[in-house]
Amino acid sequence: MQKTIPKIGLFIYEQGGRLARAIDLDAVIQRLARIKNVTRCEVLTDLAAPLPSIKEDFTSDKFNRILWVGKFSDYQKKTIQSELSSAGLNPYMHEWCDIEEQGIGIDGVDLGIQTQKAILIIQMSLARTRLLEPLEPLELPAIDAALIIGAGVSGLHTATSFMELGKKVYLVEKESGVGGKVASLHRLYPRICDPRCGLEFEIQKIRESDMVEVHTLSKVKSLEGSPGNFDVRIEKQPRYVSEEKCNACGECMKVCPAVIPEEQRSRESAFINETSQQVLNSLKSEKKAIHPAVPMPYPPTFLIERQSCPSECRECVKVCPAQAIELEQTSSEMAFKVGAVIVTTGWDPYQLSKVEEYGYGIYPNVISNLEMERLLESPPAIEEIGFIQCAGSRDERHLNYCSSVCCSVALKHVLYLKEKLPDARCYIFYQDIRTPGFDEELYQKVKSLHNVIFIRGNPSTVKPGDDGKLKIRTEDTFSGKEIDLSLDLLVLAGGMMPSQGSFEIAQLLNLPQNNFGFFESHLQCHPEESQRTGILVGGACRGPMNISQSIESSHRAAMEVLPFLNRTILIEPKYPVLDLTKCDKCKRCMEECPFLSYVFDENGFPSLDLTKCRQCGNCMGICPLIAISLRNNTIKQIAAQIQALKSSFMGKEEPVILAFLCENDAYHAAKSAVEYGLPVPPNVFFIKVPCAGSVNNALVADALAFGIDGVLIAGCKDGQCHYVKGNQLVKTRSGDLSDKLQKMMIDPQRVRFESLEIRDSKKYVELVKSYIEELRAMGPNPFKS
Amino acid sequence: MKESVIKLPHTVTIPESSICVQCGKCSSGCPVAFESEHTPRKIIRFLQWGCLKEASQSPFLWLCASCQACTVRCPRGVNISSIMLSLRRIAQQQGWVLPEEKLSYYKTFINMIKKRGKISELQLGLATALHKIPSHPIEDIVLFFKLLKRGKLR
Repeated sequence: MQKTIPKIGLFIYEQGGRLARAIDLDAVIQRLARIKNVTRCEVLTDLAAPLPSIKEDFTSDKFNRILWVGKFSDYQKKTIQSELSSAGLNPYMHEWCDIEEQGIGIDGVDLGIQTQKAILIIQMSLARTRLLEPLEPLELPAIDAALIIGAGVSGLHTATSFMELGKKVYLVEKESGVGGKVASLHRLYPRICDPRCGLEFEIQKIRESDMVEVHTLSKVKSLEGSPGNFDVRIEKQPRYVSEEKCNACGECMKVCPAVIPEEQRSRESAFINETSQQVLNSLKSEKKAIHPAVPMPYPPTFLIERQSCPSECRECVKVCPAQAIELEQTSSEMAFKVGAVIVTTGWDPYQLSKVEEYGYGIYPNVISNLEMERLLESPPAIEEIGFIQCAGSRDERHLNYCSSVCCSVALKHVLYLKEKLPDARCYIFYQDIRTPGFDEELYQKVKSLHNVIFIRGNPSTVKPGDDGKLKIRTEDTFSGKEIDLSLDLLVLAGGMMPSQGSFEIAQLLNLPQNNFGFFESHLQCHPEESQRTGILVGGACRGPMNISQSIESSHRAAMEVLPFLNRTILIEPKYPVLDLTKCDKCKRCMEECPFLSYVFDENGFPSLDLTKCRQCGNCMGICPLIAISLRNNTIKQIAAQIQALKSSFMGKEEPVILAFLCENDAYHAAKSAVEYGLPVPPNVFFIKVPCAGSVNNALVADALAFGIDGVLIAGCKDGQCHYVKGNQLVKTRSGDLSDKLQKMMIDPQRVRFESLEIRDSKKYVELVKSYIEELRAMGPNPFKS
Repeated sequence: MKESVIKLPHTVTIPESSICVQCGKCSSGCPVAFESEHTPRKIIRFLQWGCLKEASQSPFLWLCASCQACTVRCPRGVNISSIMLSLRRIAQQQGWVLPEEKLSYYKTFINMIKKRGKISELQLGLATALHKIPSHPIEDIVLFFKLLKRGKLR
């Protein structure tokens, strides 16, 4: 990059004489025109008319960058930039300085002071303008294919959506067939529809398309590379049946001698009676060693559970008309490239055997809500059925959250059970009935059914009765009286926890999880987030939710992933650049990056993955050798702004504060404080930064060494930072900062960290005022000239 | 609580009881819950209202066997057993305790330990029964012989 001598055109946009009322505009112009590098300096009252002459001056090289002072609408900014870019001026060579948002024009401040302050604000912007560079966005080649991990309802629906957009999809599933947990449900409320109907609808689309590659019995083995260019390796377990030849005719199943009993439930004879035997029979589902894919028979190829085969048995091989049996298959690996990853690994039911007091796994007629779905297909002739809600949920000993769907599920079960067994008596033991939205109708419907009794009270234990029934005792909390019941069947409303697959993926891809093991996201704003660029999360692996919420959630993830599924990715030129000559490989930038965007290069230096980078600047903030700078917000630029601030402009005794305000929240609080006419003291100057975490200790020390009385760093509140924890990172560095300041004989109290929310204008004014008082008490900075 | 209207005092609720959601699991598992008009859940409810006196005067406190079934199963982690013991102490200190006769068993127990450092079941049973006369000595005599036969009295 050739060193160009900066030549600045300075234009102050004055509409309706507003600025002239607050400051001595002539004095300002006179002062500024004398400044080095300013080759044109004037006040404009209109923008359209002077524009041709400005273009002319630029093309004749009178200036090569422009500082615009004043308030401009977005439309005006865009027009100016596009007009001048047609003449060849790079949009990053414009600097916009709004002196009013820094407090110029507030009532009650002396004209002389306002004028001085205005000049300083403009000089700070000039210091930055001198160091502007023309920047171009980067275009990187990318792959428009997506990897979806988990082929349940979320994965299937997302796959078909991508397919319809013309994007290739690799759908990886660890079971032998697609469908997930939804495929094992019986009927869905309110249409009383079979869940496999909706799933089959999506499967049909996939079957007819070339764009979706479904890999079952497969797990992701490794994921490398960066967003837009991920390298995926998957491992496929052998099916022992050829996917090309098998046509699912089923001849093999007829002759297979090996039967695999699916349920290994407890068969303690003491607790078997006629009813519990019927329950066991209803839940029993046997399959042969060779069988269609489960849960849903797609891909249609059969598979063999080899460990269940009798040795040397070849019955299926002998009988298969297509000769599709391939007993010598082994596990294989596949590799492909994708632009982005969507994780839809779903949930697993909580192990109810851990809730020991209810006897799940001991008494055969205590079942889970998931098992009840199967039982409802052909329920035994039972009379007294109990439903215990919140079994192992909302419980600090088990799952300490609410799984949100179990109340609606239990009510649905009661509804269908009463259709099949109209004389059954149903007892629902609950703590709260949570049926949000339109499920209220379901609640009211069930409540009005004959022989359905709601008991608000949590049973403590389940005991076996002499006749094989289950004895329950509970306090009916509404009446305070004891209720003793003898039940044929007990259904425990078990909760949803993150699936085993979710835990494995979290480990493999290094995705943060919350306390309960679900993927950590930025709840309201970005529930699809995973804190890893290019990898997004959808469906029940993010948190307990029902089917329609799962589909919505995964589509949210799909939308956010689309920018990576293009042939090229555009990267804004605001990314950080590392000066390798200064770097000593301490790797603090690698550790503090909230999105793990740095990797080691072959020489052991940190290397930034531009597609993962979110351009927050936290690396710039942490580097102890100030070797990292954001391209449009460099350390030199900020240092130049600091040096331009003459802190004794109001006299030596009056403290001057330099505030670094994060542009997401704190900056808006300060800006709106002025807009609402709050009495912002003139003592404060602010510099906008992308994140509080991007403020480097060296700059703070610099500011104080140049005589600024106090530095304020304001970011978001804990847990609200859009870059995960920038506000916390800057605070934890304060230990290093205090040491540094003390060595420089500067009181560390001259640095303050604050949290501001976007509308905290009053709080901003109050904390500036209180800080001014503190600084007055401390006395002026000894370095002040 | 003889009145049908609760007069909530102005004092803040006792924090250890605030986390209770009144699910009733404690009462459901308590072996003595329905022997008196109050159940463990109700006692915690009194505390949630700030009605410490009503809670401490409850006869249920003296039936509690400290079996811990409630505490072990409470989904919110409320330590119900220790709340019962604390309320007993408060009742003693504040003089809210019920008539002497209900406490005779406890008093005899403690005095015996103070004097001899151990309990003789036979003497404890006799001392308590004597305190109860003339209320129900007959049932106690039947019980006495049953226990003696099974070798439970030394």
